[in-house]
Amino acid sequence: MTLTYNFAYLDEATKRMIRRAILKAVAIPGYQVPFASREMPMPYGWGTGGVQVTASIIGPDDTLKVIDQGSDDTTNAVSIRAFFARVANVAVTTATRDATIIQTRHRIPETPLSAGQILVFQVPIPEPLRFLEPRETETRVMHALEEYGLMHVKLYEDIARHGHIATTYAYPVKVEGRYIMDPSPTPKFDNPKMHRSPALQLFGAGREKRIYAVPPFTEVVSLDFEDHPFAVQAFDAPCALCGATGVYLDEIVTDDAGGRMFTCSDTDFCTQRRAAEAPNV
Amino acid sequence: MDNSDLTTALEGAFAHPVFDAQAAFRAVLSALAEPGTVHALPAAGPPAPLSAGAGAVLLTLADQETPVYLAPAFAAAAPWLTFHTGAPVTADPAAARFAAVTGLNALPNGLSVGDDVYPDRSATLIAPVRLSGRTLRLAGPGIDGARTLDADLSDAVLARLAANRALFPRGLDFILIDEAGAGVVGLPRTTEVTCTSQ
Amino acid sequence: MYVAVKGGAAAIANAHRLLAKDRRGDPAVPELTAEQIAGQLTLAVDRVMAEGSLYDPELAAIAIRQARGDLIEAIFLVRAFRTTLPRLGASRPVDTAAMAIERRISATFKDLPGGQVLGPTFDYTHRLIEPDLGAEPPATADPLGPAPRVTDVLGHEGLVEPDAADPAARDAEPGDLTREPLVSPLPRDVRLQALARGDEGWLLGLAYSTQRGYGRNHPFVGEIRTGAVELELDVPELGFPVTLGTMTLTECQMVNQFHGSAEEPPQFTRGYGLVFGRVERKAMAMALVDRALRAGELGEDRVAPAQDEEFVIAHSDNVQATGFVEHLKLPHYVDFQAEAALVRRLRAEAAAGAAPGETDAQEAAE
Repeated sequence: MTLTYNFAYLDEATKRMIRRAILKAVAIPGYQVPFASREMPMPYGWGTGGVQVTASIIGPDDTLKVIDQGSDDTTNAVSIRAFFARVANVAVTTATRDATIIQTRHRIPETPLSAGQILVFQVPIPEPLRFLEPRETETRVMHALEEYGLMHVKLYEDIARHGHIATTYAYPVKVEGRYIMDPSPTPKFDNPKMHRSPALQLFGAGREKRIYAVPPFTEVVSLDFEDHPFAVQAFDAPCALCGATGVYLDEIVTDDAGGRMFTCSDTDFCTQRRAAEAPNV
Repeated sequence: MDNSDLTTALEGAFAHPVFDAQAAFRAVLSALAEPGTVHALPAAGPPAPLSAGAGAVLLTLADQETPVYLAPAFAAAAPWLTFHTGAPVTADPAAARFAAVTGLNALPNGLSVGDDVYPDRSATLIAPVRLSGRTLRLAGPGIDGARTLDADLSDAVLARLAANRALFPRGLDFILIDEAGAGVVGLPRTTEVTCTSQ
Repeated sequence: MYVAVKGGAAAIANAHRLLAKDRRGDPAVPELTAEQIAGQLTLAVDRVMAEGSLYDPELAAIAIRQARGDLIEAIFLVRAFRTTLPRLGASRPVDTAAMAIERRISATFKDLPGGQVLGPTFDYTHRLIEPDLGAEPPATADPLGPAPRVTDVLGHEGLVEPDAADPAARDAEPGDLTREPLVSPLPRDVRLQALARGDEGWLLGLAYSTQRGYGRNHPFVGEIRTGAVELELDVPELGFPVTLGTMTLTECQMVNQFHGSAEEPPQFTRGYGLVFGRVERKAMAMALVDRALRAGELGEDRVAPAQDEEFVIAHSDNVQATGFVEHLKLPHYVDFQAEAALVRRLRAEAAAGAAPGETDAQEAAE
């Protein structure tokens, strides 16, 4: 039995269906467009939404970068990159600035994105209201009526209880003053990068069958309160490898006696900095 | 249908269906993501007077699942469209997912603008435009501040676009095809269009 | 330095080689063939076809071998392949009344036209491990010809609700959740499709819960029938249907009590189950859950989990469920770091006796 697959795996009818959903998503920033998500050859929860979006937009002239947790080398990033290299025969890169399409799980690169680039997010739970209201029939109506009081109540309860908004990732944002949107489980550190980004941001949730988008230069505002303004995480020390500050760091356990080091989560960013500083190494 | 009609219906597809559709989609995606920018489309040959650009967009996005409304002037393109895409041609604007019209001043009544719960269930218009005449100022998502577009849209059309924008999140989205063949320009429902010249 | 962030590609390649070795097992033992699986592990093949939504025993057998017998993994393989297949057309509805019956039982009538046929069932076997199978000479039986369905027999009297009482629903093109976005509430056709693809264990547990009082609906097995049906395709150019082949199906019709309402006299209602192959347990569970999910339509209070469509359908797909549960083993250290920083800070604030939120203005203190 010999089997052959299409360019970028998906059949053309599926691509058309997804492309139509993407166009409507772009036209209604932050709104979740339902789409008939397909079974993909990797498990649900491992990036099937992002993979379907990427497969529907990618062409032979593209250069693809895939990151997971900010890193090009994590197993799932390697796996997805290899998948596209195989089924679409496209150029792949780890350099953020060389990529035309960047598929990501849980991070936005530290290197600022530029116009013409497309950032594709893998999204597990696209509905920002889901943990307040499990029913899709209800949350749909809440979005339709712009009835977002529940979300503010939840955030305020955090403050009453902990003194802080206790949401540190998947921190809800409001898009263009209308839709509350889940930014995917990126740390809130990355939320400001979504605001008026010159890149097109597309979000794919395969298991939950939703696609949404933030066009370039679109308002993306993290929810907060006047007396508790939104603030991002910051780290005490610079990256132990490249010395960068103002970037998101991974904590690495170095021994079993409490030893820790902090290094850039964005491995490409860190590598480029080290290469620039030590050209002879 | 006589033989020449049949030939017309059978010809005019993409030379490379997979790659041309991908390129055309990216052009339309960029056009709608960055309203007012012009993006070239791969060649397609629908029966006149439907433009090559409108044909390329329909080949890219239409299929069995998307009823298409064709303006009466484009009736000759119906067999071509159905043959190449499988899309059912509908005379009912309310049923249309895509509508190919002769201009933004000639929209049929009853096109779907979606509803508040599912605003994505709205029609996408494909219309020719002349990219000269008046200087328009565009603003909204996809635009860093403001962008200038030269196009021959009348005050009545601008008023229609403004009314459409006021429906947000409901509304129509527009894929405009340059009459001179330069490519595609997008005006999603979010774009504010005003005239800065006479 | 940190193994998890380097060498991903090599680690994956090695894992695949180890998997291949374990899958093959002892090379001194002959390799299992797909034919053996398709011919001898038929119920595993049937389950993979049913939940994989693709009727192809050979492909299912190959998938089972590749998945080392993990049926959900095999279902996943079949589904991922199914995604890529072009849709050439929609068959005519299969007529289960015209089935060549190999098994047919009813719990509501002692005898009925066409008779009761036990067929190849485990039902009355003693569950004693028998290391030496094949000692008994195998029996053969010709399939029974077409026999009326019990629900048709009851239908003559008006005792049971008819098939698709609403003619508009009967004539409408059935939906397809693999081609169109799911939008709740679902029409019954799409709900039945979801159940037919749904996880057998999930449906079994939900069905069981209805029997134990969580949405009780007083079921009787009107009929279970298993056998081959013909699959026909209308070809407009020919003007008559073309037979594509036959497929084995199991259909279960549960007959349930209904007290009637202001508009309707009392009559029995139905729950429906239909699956590929001989997955009888699944067909029965599906029929019970289908009936439970009709609570709203029949004016019953929706109080039990099995009656809650969004809950039942959203969690019925084992490929989705296994993916999302298992995705927790993917790295989450970026998010964990964000949480850890907050917990450290809250603990530090508590230790310092600071009022909560006092340090909010300088979140940089982390």
